[in-house]
Amino acid sequence: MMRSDDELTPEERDALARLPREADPPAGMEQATVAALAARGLLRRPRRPRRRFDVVLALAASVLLFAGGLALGRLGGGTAPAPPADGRPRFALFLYEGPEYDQPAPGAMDQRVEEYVAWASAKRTDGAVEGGEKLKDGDEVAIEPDGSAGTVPSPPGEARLAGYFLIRAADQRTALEIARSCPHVRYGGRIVVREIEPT
Amino acid sequence: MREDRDLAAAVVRSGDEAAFRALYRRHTPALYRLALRLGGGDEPWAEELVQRSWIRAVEGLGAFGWRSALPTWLGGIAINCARELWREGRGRDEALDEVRDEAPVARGSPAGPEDRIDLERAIERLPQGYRQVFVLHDVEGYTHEEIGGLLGIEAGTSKSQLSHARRRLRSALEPPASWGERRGSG
Repeated sequence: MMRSDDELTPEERDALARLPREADPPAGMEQATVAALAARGLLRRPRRPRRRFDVVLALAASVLLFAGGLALGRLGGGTAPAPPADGRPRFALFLYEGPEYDQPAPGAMDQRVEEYVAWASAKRTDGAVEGGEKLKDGDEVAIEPDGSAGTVPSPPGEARLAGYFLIRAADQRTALEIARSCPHVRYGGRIVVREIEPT
Repeated sequence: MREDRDLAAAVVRSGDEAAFRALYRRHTPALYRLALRLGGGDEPWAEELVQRSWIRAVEGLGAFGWRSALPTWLGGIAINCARELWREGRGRDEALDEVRDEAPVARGSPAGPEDRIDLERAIERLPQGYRQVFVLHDVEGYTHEEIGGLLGIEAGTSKSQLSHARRRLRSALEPPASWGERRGSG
């Protein structure tokens, strides 16, 4: 059907007109968008009675930034379904916080936590995020080859590992896209992506 | 059902989350389909584009003059956001496009439609420059002048890209069947 001109045939126009005009957005995308807008002060969340799960998160927020990872890793009974077992490679996303990381203002921790939770929940729903944890603030202690233990120096201004997520992705490129979509990046955090050796 | 304008006013006036969710649910399916097509089927990229588009839209909603329908305005925002993402190096790159474009496609044989690529997949396989013009012109109905304004290119460039895109699609989709005959699979 190669044609000498560039005009569409009636059949081609018909085929184009029949292309679907809509697609179902992924579950969790709405919540992630609402959380992102709320974090920017563009939406105001309606007040609702706190349930036990919310209280757990609120308490966690005082010490844990990546409560999304906590919710996934320890409070497995969240709203998102369990990730499917599949053969995709696993990746670790190491989240670093340096001086450029935009720490939440006092009183804004809830919104920040909610944004991480929404992101992790959305990614968990589509089978990407398997879990994650926030590392507790404090000294890093290393075991040296001779067996001795010592505190790792933490020079001011140097980024520190603050948490991690474990994800599944078809390939490294997809893993990088998932990492890019994490709110941590938007707040000036750095994410190092490493593929996990299958065992 | 509340009109878009009422819902938008509530979002602007008081950050009404319920009003935003109503707008989101009404318009996101079309926005997401556009994002998937512009991104060549890259779902994480499309999700990022839709979220960024809504953030921009809500930021600018107070200044929206309603001289066009809300979906039209949202589409323009999405295209601008897509350009931003591409400039940031996000999304499928041209090198990969070329590899995919030159890779053997599951050619249709007279034996079975399961071997055929459908029109949607063929559009996804177009290189980014061809794809965006094709989607905007032949699927979304923008004129070359409008595309030029949206993408920051000359109208003549848009026409040229469209011509290349159509040729690539025709080449990818035949033989043996035309676009119309393949549409059922997609």
